[in-house]
Amino acid sequence: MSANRGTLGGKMATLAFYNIDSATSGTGDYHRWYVLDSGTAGSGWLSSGTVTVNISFSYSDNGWIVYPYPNPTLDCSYIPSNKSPLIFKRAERLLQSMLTKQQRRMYERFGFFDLPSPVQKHVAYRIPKSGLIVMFEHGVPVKRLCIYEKEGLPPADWLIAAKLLVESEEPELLKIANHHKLDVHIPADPRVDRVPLLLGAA
Amino acid sequence: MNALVILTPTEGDRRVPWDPGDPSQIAEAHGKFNELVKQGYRAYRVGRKGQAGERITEFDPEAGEILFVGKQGYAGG
Repeated sequence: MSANRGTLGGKMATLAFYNIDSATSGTGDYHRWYVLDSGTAGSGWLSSGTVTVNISFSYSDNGWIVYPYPNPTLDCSYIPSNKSPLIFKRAERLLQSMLTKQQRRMYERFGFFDLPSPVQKHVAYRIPKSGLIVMFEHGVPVKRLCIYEKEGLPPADWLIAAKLLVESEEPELLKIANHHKLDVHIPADPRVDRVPLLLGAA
Repeated sequence: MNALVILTPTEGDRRVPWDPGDPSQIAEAHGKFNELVKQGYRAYRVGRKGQAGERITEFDPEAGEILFVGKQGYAGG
């Protein structure tokens, strides 16, 4: 766990994070905090129980920059990471070796890739580098699934874990994940919801 | 290349290769497999270039690469 100075609603507070490199939760001086994201950049929220602030964050120079969404000029926080950049690069290489050409192209262009449900023909999942898994039905996004791996893997390794969950343990994924309406977590990158599904064998 | 690939938070992916033609290396990989599963890892037979992964609970010497992830499990957020 790491503690850092940060803000919520304009008030300075100490942020305490459990593993900022993955979906996390922690407690602050006055607030309960949640940071939800598993990507190298993305969005989530910080909550004090009564106040919820949407945030975005990006990885830069061995640390995370956390800022309120959609106004990145206010209340920026910097959270150092203890992970080597090499780990992130290796994880990216491993992930890319496991994707189809089409998924790889999609991931490089948009930061996400799509997977069909192995069981339900009308269902597919979008696994984004930033943010929550999006569930599609009949080609339309219907909900976001929030699930995280407790150890705190490098982002691309988490995407591999999410891919494997969809492919071989979909019922468990749906059971463990919290299901959120699309308007609860607006992604920093609107393409996550807008780009049509690309499901092919290529 | 046959290998156990362990995804860890601090080291990234750690690879333990084995030679499928060497019975002693197969036995060693089998032992390591059991040890990792006992520690809580989920094991998957993984394919390259988009082939779907498959969860396995028994060591498969023909699997090629076996990936281990999720030692502490998953939780909803």
